[in-house]
Amino acid sequence: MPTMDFDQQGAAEMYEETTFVRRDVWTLQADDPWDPITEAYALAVATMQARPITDPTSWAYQAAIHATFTATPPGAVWNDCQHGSWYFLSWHRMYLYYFERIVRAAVLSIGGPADFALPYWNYDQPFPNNTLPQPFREPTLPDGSPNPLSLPSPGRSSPIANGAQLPPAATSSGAAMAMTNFIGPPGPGFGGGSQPPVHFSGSAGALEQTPHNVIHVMVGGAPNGQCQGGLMVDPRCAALDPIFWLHHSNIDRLWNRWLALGGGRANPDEPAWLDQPFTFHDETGVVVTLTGAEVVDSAEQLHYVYDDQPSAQGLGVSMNDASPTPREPSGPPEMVAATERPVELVGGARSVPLRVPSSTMSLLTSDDATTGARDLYLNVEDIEAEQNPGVVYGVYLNMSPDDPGADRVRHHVGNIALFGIELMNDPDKAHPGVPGFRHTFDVTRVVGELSEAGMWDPDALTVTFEPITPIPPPGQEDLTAVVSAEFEEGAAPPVRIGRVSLFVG
Amino acid sequence: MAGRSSARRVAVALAWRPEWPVVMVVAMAWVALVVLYVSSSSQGAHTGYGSHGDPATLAAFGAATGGWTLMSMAMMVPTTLPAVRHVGLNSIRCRRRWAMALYVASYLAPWVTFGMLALLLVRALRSAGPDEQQLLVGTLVIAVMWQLTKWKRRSVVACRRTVPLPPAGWRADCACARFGIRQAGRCVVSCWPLMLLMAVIGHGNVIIMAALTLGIVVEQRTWVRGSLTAPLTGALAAATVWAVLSG
Repeated sequence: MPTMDFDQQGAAEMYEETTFVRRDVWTLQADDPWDPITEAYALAVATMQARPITDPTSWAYQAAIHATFTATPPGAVWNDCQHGSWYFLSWHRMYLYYFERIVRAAVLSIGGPADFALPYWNYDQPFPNNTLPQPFREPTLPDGSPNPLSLPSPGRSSPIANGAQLPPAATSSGAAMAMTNFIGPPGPGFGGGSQPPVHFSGSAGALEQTPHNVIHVMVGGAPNGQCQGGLMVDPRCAALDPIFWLHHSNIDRLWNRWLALGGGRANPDEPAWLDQPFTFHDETGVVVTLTGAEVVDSAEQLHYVYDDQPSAQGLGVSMNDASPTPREPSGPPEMVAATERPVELVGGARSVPLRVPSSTMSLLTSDDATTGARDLYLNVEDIEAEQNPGVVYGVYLNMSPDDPGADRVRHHVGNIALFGIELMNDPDKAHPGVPGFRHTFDVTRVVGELSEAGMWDPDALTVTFEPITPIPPPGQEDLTAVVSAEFEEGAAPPVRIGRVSLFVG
Repeated sequence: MAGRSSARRVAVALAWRPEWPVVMVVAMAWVALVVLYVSSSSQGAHTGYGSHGDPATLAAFGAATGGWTLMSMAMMVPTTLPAVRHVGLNSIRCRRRWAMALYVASYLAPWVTFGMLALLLVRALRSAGPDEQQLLVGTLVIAVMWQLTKWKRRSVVACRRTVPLPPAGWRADCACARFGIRQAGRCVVSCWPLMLLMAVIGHGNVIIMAALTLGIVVEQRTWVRGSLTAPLTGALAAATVWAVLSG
């Protein structure tokens, strides 16, 4: 097993005595794109990229731990990422933790900052923070050498690589933060559905859906072959893009912030979640194992914190959301409306009517449905596609797509991003998920607001799917043409949706 | 007060498991099979009322069809209970039980058809020459080999797929029936050698039926890393060795 020239005793002491601080990459580059931390990350990436894939501390090996097109060699820890289940957050925390240790060892070996910690990209902020950080767009490092943080085209979506903004509908974690349960159902829950470890499954939590999956697809753009197109959009290539790690650092930060909101928010206490081990490599290449119970407190157990103190303010979550009144346990949500035929999306906007049978109409017209006394869930079911279309579809309730002036924020209930659908389709994976995604959105608040605005008519329920497009940055409106070309009707590979349904909890 | 609370908890639990009436029907099917097995054993016919299911006459054919339907209800419906639950939870309340019944009937139809064909095939094989031992070992070997194929594993995964169900009307009925037939098709691909084995052994043998049902249900519910089909394959391989040695 290849090892690095790294003093294990020194490393152990360092990790006992130091609490590392993960910082916002946009704060680091406030004055200069090349802050010492960011530059050290770039140099460490170059160092790791120079190592052979047989070295567990190499860039290629670390990316393959997430997923790769290559079958897992004997003894290797490849193709192991956990998506679409309650292990999503814990597995990725462990993955990042050991990756950060490997990067830190590389940083130290080249004389970089001793307090190096992986930065995070908080894209849920106004311009310019909602654009790809500048160091990931520079062609060269300060010394003139090639910048490993920048990818040659088409490694990333063209608009994003050129500085386009990610829209709030794509970056907001508000819906996930409003969840008070980690595990679904009836809602998706914050962290995903309870089930045994599966590479890709269909029970993604709200945070995994948005912003996690959405950012993967919007930054990656269109996939092509085996990592010949956008990297972030395909799980088998995603971790080859250096921005992947800053994206996941942000997702990990949001997990801490969700817990800090209180109001009943807590990690699962089931042994199946707490005791589930996952395997990685540390900075010496040695195989190491962590369980969920060993990573629930990042500061105490893993010795790192984030530079922002968690609080309910600024998260877009009202205190009403943060302190829910516990409801009596009740039966499963009841279906009250659904589409009659499947629908196909090919890049443009598409609206579908929901039929409300007469026997369930009273459930929708009652005050309970519009005042929040009963929860309402919109399901988008049996979502299938041969490949990821590289397009994120926003889902809107009772909005006319032909009305350019429609208040999209008011009607927006969530997004559909098909990160990983290729792996769910593959019937020959060692531990497969079932083809077909199901996305569940809690639409209680949206229905209440539409009702207050006189825009809630159970006789005319429609759901609209519309691509979420990047926004050209100020002064670069010429990017509009680039964006429009990518999101024209018929420009994207088809996505089939079996049914859209509305449930009352 | 406590009684009302307990009743509510039971009602909520049953609401989350709308397939419970189907579970009751499956349980009744097992009771009927056990009763028939015990009564036939007491008469000295150890392979039971449906021994070899030989459909030589119309009456025998009817009995064999009935026996096979009962066996399919007991053995194969438990494997599709998650799909029954899916149908129940994804149908509007007033048509929930109808939708589940339609699904189960549609699911059983291909299995009964398969059973009749399997019984005819076994009868033809018997008349062609191989003795019971050879027939049993041969079927077990086929079952083990099938367990190792990619078609088997793919069909196990496919059994977990669902189809969209319209909310009401004839479209909803058609979708339930289509779902049942499609699921049965996937499960026939997955389990045909095992049911062929039952046609050879005789579908009155509840002990072997119970063991195979357990194996199939575990296989269907397994999400472990590695092979989904390994436990049942191992059990069948062991049974093959036992059949060869005991011959």
